[in-house]
Amino acid sequence: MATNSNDITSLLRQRIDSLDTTVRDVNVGTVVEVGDGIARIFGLSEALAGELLEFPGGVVGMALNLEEDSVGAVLLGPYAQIKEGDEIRTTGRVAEVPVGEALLGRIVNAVGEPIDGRGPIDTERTDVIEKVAPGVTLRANVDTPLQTGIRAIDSMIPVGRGQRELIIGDRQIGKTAIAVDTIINQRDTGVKCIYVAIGQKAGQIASVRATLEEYGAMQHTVIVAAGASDPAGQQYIAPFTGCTIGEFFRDDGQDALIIYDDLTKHAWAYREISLLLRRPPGREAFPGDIFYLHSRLLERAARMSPDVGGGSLTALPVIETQEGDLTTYVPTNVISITDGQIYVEPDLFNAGNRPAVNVGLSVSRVGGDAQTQAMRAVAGGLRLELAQYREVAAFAQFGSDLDASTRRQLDRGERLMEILKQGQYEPQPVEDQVISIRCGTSGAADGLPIEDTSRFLTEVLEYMRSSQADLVKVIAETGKLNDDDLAKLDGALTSFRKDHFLASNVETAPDETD
Amino acid sequence: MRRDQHSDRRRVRQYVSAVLETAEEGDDWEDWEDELIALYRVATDAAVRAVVTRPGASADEQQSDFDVISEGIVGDRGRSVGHVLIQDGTFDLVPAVRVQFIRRSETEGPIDRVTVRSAVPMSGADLDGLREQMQTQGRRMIFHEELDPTIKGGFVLRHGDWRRDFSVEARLDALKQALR
Repeated sequence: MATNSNDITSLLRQRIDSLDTTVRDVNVGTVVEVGDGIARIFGLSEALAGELLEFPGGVVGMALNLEEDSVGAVLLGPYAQIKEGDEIRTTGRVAEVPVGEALLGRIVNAVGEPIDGRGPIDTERTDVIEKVAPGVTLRANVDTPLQTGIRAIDSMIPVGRGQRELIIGDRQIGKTAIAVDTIINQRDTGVKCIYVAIGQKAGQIASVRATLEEYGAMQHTVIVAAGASDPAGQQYIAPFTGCTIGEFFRDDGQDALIIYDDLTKHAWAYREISLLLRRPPGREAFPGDIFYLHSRLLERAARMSPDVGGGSLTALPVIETQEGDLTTYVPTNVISITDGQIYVEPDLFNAGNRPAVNVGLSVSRVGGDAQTQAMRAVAGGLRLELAQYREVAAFAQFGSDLDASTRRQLDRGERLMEILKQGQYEPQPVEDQVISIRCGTSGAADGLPIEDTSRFLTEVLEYMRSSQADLVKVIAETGKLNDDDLAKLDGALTSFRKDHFLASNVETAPDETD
Repeated sequence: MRRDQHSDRRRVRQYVSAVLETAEEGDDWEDWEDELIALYRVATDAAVRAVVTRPGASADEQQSDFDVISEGIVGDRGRSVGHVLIQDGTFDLVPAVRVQFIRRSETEGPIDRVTVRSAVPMSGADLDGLREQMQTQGRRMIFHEELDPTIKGGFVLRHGDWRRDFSVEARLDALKQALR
């Protein structure tokens, strides 16, 4: 005990002796105006753009507008006690947040502080939130799939690791559900997930957290929350904070996925800040650099070259449209920045198609290279068949007589639409998806009553796992399906349809003599 | 008159240039500073602003309201600036004029502003010593003293945009950081 006490005394003495009490000049300014999360500070002649400023009470702000006589700063904390005349000082630092594995399973605010009531986060490193995206030489092609577990997406709008794929659609039609399902599907893949909630109600954020916990997905996920009640400054920096946390995993050679939910509210927060800072408004009152705001953020998603670890950061930004209008300013900007979009359509949602993905308007520009060969083999013609179905279905509404070939197209299309329906929080492994899609494209589900399609899929998967376990294993492990395997799969599906499904459902069986 | 951020900046620059020239001619920098501060206090009062800039009132009516309100608070110099701004419909630019006057009287004029904040009143000799050390040839110093017991001891010096902290509190803070 005495030794310990002596050690501590000597440590204290050592620290006191080495204490640097040199008085340094600090650049300061005076608050001349404060309100709405913005402060105008007279002075601060040496402040740098983006530099953190220290306000009384430990509140931190970020210098955004450097003007002739003053600095416009966005406040990143409660500002009720800040008043005119308060002295502000520069810190010589830009905004930084803690990064590391210790953040997994935690909820943090936009400045990286834990807000889940589970105590401090033990991280050793911090990193700046504003960084230049990796250059061309540091990047590699997107060639590895990131499975969302959603049949409609993985079959026709495949997402690759390092890709930026936009999820776009009106409110309350399942955009967040797609994002959450994708996170849940990363459970045993090693992909770390970051969910950035921007401008959302606290209840919504709590619901996402509860869902992730329920499905065992929280342990590989970090939630960065800047809710609707947080200052606009926090909502503005939240995606950059999330991105920095994701970049830690990317630069560590791991794979990470980041969801920005949503960038529309992020753009609104930035517009609010810009207008309060009296920056000139442009189209829809957004500032001129709104495109750059999102492009510099999304450019940080990348697949890194093996020379620098080979990690990846995949971004799924979410954009909320009004009345399905894709042509407004922010959606068009983000569509042009990203490598494709998943368009979620209200009409499909209201017709009971979940997920309500419109595969006609959705596209993945780089994910095709990352799709598994097995999925390409079974889903190659799916998009075309659905397009033909939609065209024929539009004419069929008029009730005119249809020839046999048109009836077949309608029949096939209806079954394909049924096969693409999928419950929420039920992401599917790739082998199950391949078998399910093949049921539709090979015609194994043709002629069955529509209401039996879902049961047919469930039973065929059970059948395949029990009677064709080797084939299922090959698809799961290699992601490949050669001609022999494809023939074997088709044979198994036909056999299941005739000998098992129809045999046990004689009363609903279609006439097979056609 | 069409107003935007750039035209406002230009106008503020013009007003302040005129004030600086007048202050230089009269060599009464300190008086101008005091009166601009008084004008600023009046102009930033929400009730005063509502009366002076009320819609429908002519500039002359606004000016006469302003004269009544600022009587005995703002001197002739400050009121004359207020009149010009009211006539131009730019009364809301008073804070910007004050801020730019402070800045430009230092960069373009001969003024150095020094504020010394101490926990207990400093002796005359100490203040004279400080003043002597801070004084630069050819410059006029506007010297303010403030009492602030929260710094516990020592003093904090502010000169323009720079601060030097010789307080006990700053040293205790440094010690706290070192022991953390």
